Amino acid sequence: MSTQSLDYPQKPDLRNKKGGSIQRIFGKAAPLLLLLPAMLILVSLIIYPLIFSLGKSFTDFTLGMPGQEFVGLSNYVKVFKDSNFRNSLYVSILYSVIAVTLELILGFGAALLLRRRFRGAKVVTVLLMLPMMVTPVVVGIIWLLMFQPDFSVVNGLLSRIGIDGPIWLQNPITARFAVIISDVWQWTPLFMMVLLAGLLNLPEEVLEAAKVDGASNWQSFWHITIPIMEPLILVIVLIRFIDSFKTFDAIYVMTNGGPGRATQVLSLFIYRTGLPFMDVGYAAAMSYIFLIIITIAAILLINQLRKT
Amino acid sequence: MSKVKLIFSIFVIVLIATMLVQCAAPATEAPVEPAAPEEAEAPEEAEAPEPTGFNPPKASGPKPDSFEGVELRVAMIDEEREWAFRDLLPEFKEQTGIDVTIDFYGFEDLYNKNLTSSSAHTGEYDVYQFHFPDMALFDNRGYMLDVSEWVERDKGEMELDDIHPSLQDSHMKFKDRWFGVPTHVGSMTFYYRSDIFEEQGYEVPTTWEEVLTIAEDVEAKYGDDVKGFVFMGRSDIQGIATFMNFMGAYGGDFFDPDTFEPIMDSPENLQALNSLMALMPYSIEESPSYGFDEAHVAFQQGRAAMLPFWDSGDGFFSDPEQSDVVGKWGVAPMPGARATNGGWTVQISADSENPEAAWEFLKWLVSPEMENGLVPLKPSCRVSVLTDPANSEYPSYQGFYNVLEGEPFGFPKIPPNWQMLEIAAQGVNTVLTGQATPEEGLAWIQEQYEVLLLRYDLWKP
Repeated sequence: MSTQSLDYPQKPDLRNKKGGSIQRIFGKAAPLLLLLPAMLILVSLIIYPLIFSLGKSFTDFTLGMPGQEFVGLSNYVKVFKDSNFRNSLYVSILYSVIAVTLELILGFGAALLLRRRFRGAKVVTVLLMLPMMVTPVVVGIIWLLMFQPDFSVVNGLLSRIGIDGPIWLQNPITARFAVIISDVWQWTPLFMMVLLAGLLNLPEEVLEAAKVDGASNWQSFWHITIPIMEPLILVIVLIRFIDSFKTFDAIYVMTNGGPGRATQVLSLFIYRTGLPFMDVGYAAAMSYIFLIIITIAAILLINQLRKT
Repeated sequence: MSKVKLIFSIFVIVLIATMLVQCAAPATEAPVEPAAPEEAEAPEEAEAPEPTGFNPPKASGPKPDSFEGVELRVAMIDEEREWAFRDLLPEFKEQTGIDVTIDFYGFEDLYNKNLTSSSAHTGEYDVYQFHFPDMALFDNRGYMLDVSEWVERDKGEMELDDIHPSLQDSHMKFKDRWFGVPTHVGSMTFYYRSDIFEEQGYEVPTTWEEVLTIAEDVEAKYGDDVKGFVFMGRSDIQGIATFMNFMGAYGGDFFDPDTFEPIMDSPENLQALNSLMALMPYSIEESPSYGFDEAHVAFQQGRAAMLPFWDSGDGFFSDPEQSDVVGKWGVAPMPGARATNGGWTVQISADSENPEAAWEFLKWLVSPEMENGLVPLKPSCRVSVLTDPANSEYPSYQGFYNVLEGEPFGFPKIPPNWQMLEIAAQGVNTVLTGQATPEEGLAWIQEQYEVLLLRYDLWKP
C-alpha cells in the first residue's frame, strides 16, 4: 500500500520575501483605511457641526449679518437670566415627565395583556404598533384635527356621553394635555413592544416557584417581574426621555407653542431663536445648555441602571 | 486617569481651543458681499458707502435682445393669486422665451427658505417673493438686486405712475432705492352681516366702541345662534395683524418712529388691548384659537355678525358653493380708520445669474394686462384697476383704494420685523387666553422689544 503525501499550499512567509514589509504595513493599516470613510463622515457631519456651533455660542453671530464679535460666556449667562428659557425648560420637563410616565404605565399594561395568549393577539400587537410608524408631523396633524377648536373629534365623542368638551388648544392646561396625549399615542407602542419582549423572556421557573410558595399575582409582579425587568425599563425610559425632551414636530404643528407660550418646549424656543429670529449665537448657547441637561439626566439614569 | 476624567479633560481642551479660535477671529469680519451678476458691475456705479453697510448690488445695462433658453426659478407664497401666475407661465414663455418654474411655500416656510438660501448665497432662486416689511432685512443685507436703474429705464413700459404711490413706497422702495414690484397686495377691512344690520337698524360702526355696542345687542337678540364678533386671535401673524387695527385706532404703535424706542406698554396700546378684550364675551369663544381659515369659515357659516379680515374675504363670502351669507354681508372701512396694510413684494436675488430675465418676469407680474386679468383675485396695485367702475362689484377694490388714500397701518419695516410680530402675537394671545392681564402682556412685549431693538442697534437709549 503506497501512501501519497498531500502537499497543501503553505501560507507564504512574508517576512523573508521581497515586498513583505509593504504588505505587512498594509495589513496593519487596512482596518484604519476601511474605517476612514466612516470616520470622515462622522467628523464632517457630527464633530465639525458640534465644534462649529460651540464656537458660535461664544459670539453674537446673527444669521446673514456681516461680522460677529466674541462675547465670551455672555450668551450662557443670558440663558440663565432669560425667563423665556426658564418657561420653555419647565414646559419641556413637564411634557417629558408626564408623557414618559403615562407611556410606561400604559405600555406595561398593554404588554401584560398581550403576554396572555388569545385569538388575534398578533393582529392586535401589529395594530397597536401602527402609531409608532407614523411620522411626527402627521401625528401633529391627526391630533390637531382631534382637538381642533370648531370640529374637535374628541369633543364630538364627549358630546355623545353628554360632556361639553373644552376648547382644548385655547387653554394652557388642556393644550399641554393635548400635546402630551399625542406623544403618548405615538410612543406607548414602543414601551409595549420592548416590555413585551422582556416579559416573554422572564424565567418561568422563578415565577412558578413563587406561585408554589403562595405568592399572589400582584406579589409576583411587584417582587419578581418588576425587579427582573428594571434594567430594561430604565433603558427604555432613558431613550424615550431623551427623545421626548427633543420633541418639536408634533407640537409645532398642533399649537406652534401656544396658546401664548404654554406649549413652547425648549426645542421650539431654540428653533425660533435661531432661525426666524436669526440669533444663532444665543440659540447655540441654549442648545449646549440643553445638551448638558439631557446628559445629566442620562447619567443619572445610567447610574441607576448600573446599580440594578 | 479614569475615563470620566479623560473625557472631561478633552471637553475642557476643546472648549478652551474653541474660545481661543473665536477670540483670535477678527472682531468684525468684512461684510459678505453677494456675488453680483456681471451686468450689475458697472464701474460708474461706485458711490459713497451707506452709513449702515447698506450696499446692495445694482442692476444696470441695456436690455438683451433675446432671452431664449433662459431658465428662472422663483419662490412664492402658496396662494390663489400665485397659482394663477403659474398657470399663465406658458404665455410668458411664448412672449419672452424665458422658462420659469415657481416653487410654492407656506408663510413661515417661505420666509425661512428665502432667508437661508439668501444668506448662504446658494443661488437656488432667481426671484423671491416675500412679505413686504422683510425688505428691511433682505435689502439691507444686500440679498436682493437694486433695480433703480431698470425702473427708471422701463417706467413708461411699466406704467409706473399707475401703481399707487403708497404701494411704491411700501412694497417697491427701501431707503429711496427701488427693489421690487408689489403683487398680492391688500389690507384688512371690516365685514359685517348686512341683513342683521338692516333688520336691527344698526349703523355701520366707525369706532371700536360702536362695534362693542352692536356686539352686545346682537348677543342679546340672537343668543348663541349668531355671536356679535369673531376675529383671528391665534398667536401668529394673523393674530397681530388683527390687533394692529385696534392699535391704529387708538394711536398706538410698536415703537417711536424717530428714536425706535419701544412703546408697546403705552396707554394707547393698553386701550387697544382692553378694547379687544371687551369684545371677547360677545365673540365666538374659539376666536383666540382662530387663524385665517377658521375666522372666515365662521363668518361665512353665519356664526358671527362682524369680522375684521383681509379683503380676500370678498371671494370667500361671495362664493355660493362655500358661503351661507351670499348677499347678506357688507364691507366697511375699519373702525378707527387705520386698517392693517399687508401684501407681498417680488424681488430679484443678488445671486441670480439672469437678472435681466428676472426683471422681465417682474414687469410681467405687474403689467396692466396681468392686473386686469387677475380681477378679482385680491385687489390690484394699480389705481386704474382699483377705481375701474367695471370692478365696482368687488367692494374690496374701492375699499383698498380708500385705505391707500388714507393712513394705512403697515407692519414695522425694520430688519427684526418678523421677531417683533411673533413676540407681539405671543404676548397678545397670552392675554386673550387668560394667562396674563393686558398690562402684564404688554409689559412682557415691551421687555422683549427693548432687548431686540437694542440688539439690532436701532434703539439707542
